[in-house]
Amino acid sequence: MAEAIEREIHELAGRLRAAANAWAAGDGSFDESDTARLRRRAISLCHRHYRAAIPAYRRLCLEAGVGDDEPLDVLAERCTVTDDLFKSYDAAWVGARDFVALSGWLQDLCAEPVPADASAAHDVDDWLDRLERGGLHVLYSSGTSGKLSFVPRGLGSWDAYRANGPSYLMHQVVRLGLDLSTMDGAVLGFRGGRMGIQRAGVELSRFLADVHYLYDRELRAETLRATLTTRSTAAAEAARARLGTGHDEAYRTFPATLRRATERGRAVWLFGAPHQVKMLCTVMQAIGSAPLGPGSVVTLGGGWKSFEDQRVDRAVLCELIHAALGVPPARVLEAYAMVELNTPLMRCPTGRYHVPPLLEPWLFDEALLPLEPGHDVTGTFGFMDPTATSYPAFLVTGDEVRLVREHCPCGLVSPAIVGEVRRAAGHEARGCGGILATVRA
Amino acid sequence: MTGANSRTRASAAALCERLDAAALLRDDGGTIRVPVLTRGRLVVPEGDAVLEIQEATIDRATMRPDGGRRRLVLPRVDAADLLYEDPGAVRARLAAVPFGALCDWLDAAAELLDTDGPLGSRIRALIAPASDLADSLLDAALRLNTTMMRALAVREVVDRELAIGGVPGSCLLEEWVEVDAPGWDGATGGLRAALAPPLGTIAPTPRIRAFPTLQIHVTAGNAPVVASASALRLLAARGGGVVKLPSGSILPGAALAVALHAAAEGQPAARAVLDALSLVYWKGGDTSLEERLFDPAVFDRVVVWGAPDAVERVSALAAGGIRTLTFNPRYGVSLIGREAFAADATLSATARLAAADVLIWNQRACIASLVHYVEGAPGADGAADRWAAALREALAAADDLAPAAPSATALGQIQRMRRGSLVGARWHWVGGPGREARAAVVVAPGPFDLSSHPLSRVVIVRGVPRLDEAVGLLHRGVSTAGIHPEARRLALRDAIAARGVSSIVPLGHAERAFAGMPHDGMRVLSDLVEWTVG
Repeated sequence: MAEAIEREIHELAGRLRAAANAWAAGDGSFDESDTARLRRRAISLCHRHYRAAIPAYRRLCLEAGVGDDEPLDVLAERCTVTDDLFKSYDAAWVGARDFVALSGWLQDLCAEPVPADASAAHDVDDWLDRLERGGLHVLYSSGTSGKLSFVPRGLGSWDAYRANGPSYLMHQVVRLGLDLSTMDGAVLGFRGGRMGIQRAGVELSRFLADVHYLYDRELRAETLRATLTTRSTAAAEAARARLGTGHDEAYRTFPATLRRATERGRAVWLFGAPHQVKMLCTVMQAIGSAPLGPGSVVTLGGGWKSFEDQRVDRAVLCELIHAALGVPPARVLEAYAMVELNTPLMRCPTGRYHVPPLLEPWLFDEALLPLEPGHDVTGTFGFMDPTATSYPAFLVTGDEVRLVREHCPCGLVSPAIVGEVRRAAGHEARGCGGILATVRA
Repeated sequence: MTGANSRTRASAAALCERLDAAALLRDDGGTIRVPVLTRGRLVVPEGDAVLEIQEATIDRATMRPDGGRRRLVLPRVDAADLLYEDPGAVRARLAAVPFGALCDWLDAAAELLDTDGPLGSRIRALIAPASDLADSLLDAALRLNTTMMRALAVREVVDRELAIGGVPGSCLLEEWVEVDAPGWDGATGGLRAALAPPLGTIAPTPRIRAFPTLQIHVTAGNAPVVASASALRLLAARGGGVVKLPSGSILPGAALAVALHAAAEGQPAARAVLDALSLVYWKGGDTSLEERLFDPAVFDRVVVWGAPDAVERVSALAAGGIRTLTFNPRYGVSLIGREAFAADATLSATARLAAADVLIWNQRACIASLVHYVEGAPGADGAADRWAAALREALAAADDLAPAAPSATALGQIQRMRRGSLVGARWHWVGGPGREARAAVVVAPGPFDLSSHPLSRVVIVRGVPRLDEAVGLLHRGVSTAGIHPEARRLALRDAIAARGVSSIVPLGHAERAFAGMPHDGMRVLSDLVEWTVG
């Protein structure tokens, strides 16, 4: 029974990806009401699946009197979890290398069996490796506190994580006239690793001719944790030293990598957080680097996070990118993503982050009650992602947004986030942008 | 009613008539015009030079927002209104005010603010619609504000807190007091005697005096007594300066300003203190005002209460130039010994004692208990869960006596905890989960990040095999530890004090205070005067 439900969810997810493809194509083949019906069916099944298979979710349901068949608004009010769920373990377990406890915690919020072998791990990276060998892909993210969020994905959810974005983003690639196989990727992050922004680089490399990294080495979870949690300056310095090349040095040498790509006649797809791209542009202008080759694009992701003091308007940043990299504003893309989300939101040329039809968006008030969906509503962003079956993907974030439901001048029909995404007061800056800040500090 | 009382009642009534005539401190269709005090002058909001504060109104039966809004309109003040051209002259005038006159003035102001009188009841009626404190707690707060101002109370506090060598503090404020203490010469003593006999051999009698200072108090709105208490410290030290009212507690501060101003008419000898006093509001972080105000050539002390960002900002403004006293955010804890489980009745009675420490200003005071460490066997049926069940009952009973409900923001935070960081905890609700929540006791499986605590009658319970182990979890961030039973408190007192906890008290008595009591480990009045040798 449980397997049948999960199978149906992933079948529906496939149909939703097809619908998302039609939605992004803008060729009139997208059926909004049919897609909404599919999505809501998938969400209802996800709820039944989570309730049956995820102990923590089941407890929430029991306490809130939520049965198997409930309307979506009831699920939104009583069953949405927060991003803190994914770091609700006792940090002391990591320090004490108690991976029996950590695995037990993960099982509490995971629908997949947690590989028993993981309990014998000797550090966090080994634990993650063992989980992956056992079929459980765990990505992590971190806030400035240094406590890592772990999000587990079994095969079905992992496939969805890798397939959802391309199902609708490829149309944007086509519209921009990109031939990915002849482009170089440039990721302002670490090679590999399991942190969200690094993962984006890995995923990009599947499509691009070659990918270069600002830090050409893997970011290990243990190193990151040590860097973020240490209280002594000397220990922090030692932890940073283990990361290898210094931050400024990496920015000084990266333009040469980009120049070589241009000399080979390759356009570049540059990917980084806004503060990183700003820094790269500043360095390239200072040393008089040539712009990127024609046809290059820039994708911004991760927001400003702990670099709020460096924030500039998007228009100013685009001007800088144009001046330093030769990439015009129309080729500067931006995504809203998080490690708990299988389905990134891309910013359209009109400046809106469109919610793909794979997702059911919700806004919440300060009491964490869902707001009535409306034409133009401001609140805390949340979503139901029915392509994730391994963990409860009915989630309320810590981000304040304005969500409009209207026809966008860009041609897309979907709810869309308008304006800047701001971290709600009292919520720790998190995500990849924030984390690199601390590594640098 | 005595003659004095009836005269005060009459003058309070007359004051209310004057307030009515000026359309001040009354609700005119959802707008309340609020005066402030700048260097002894009552300033009213006029024209465009005003600030507005929006407040949500509360249903007094459920203590939840009723959807109503109202606005407070205050005059906008400029730093120039709060500074002194000749700070030395101001200090000299303050030093000349007889302490008795100061007390009489404060006593008269307290009489005007009496909660049963026309002004007191007017202010109470204005505060209540937007206060999230139950009637009983609100009334107690307003009574406390006036009681602390009574001459008897002020004198007790000053005499004890500023006392040196048996000399009451009021004497040290009033005059140069001879110090009966052994003295010694410095290295030049011998030279002086050799150079200038016989004068150089005579040792003068030392005297000291607690001299007035000019102060800035940046207060917090977590309780309606904070701004008044901070202002009273300034006044009791016979100082001058500025008290910044918090946006969440404007009206009690404005009432104090009006009462002090009115009472000064009959107390001319204390006038210099009023003339040096400002009770005002500006939006925290208003750099155009703050950067000019925090002038080390004018002010001697800064006192700052409140949230970490406010403390950090104000401390930075005063850094290096003005001596600063900070009342950082801290929290209280309770330690429950296994003796509490001797019998069901004992458990219930102990839990009710503990609930009292949770209720302090609905847990927003830094002495309120947020975490309970419970000694006993671990596990779902162990001591922690038995304690949580008993405490839940006690908090439910407290909700009947003094109802409270989390604000929307706190409710959101509770839900975030329930569905995030504390998903693995066992929750015991008062009022039910979800939007019906009124309080909660949470048995946490491990450490909890207190920075996300909603401060709304939510108690985190952690089981410990032995109370001694809880001691290791305490630190300077803990202001108060309430312990039960008494024998255990006495046994643990030194160890807990050594961890930096300021008050180690019997369970249920975290809020109890006494004249001359230290605050956050400091004798505050003593820091608000300039101990001068002369």
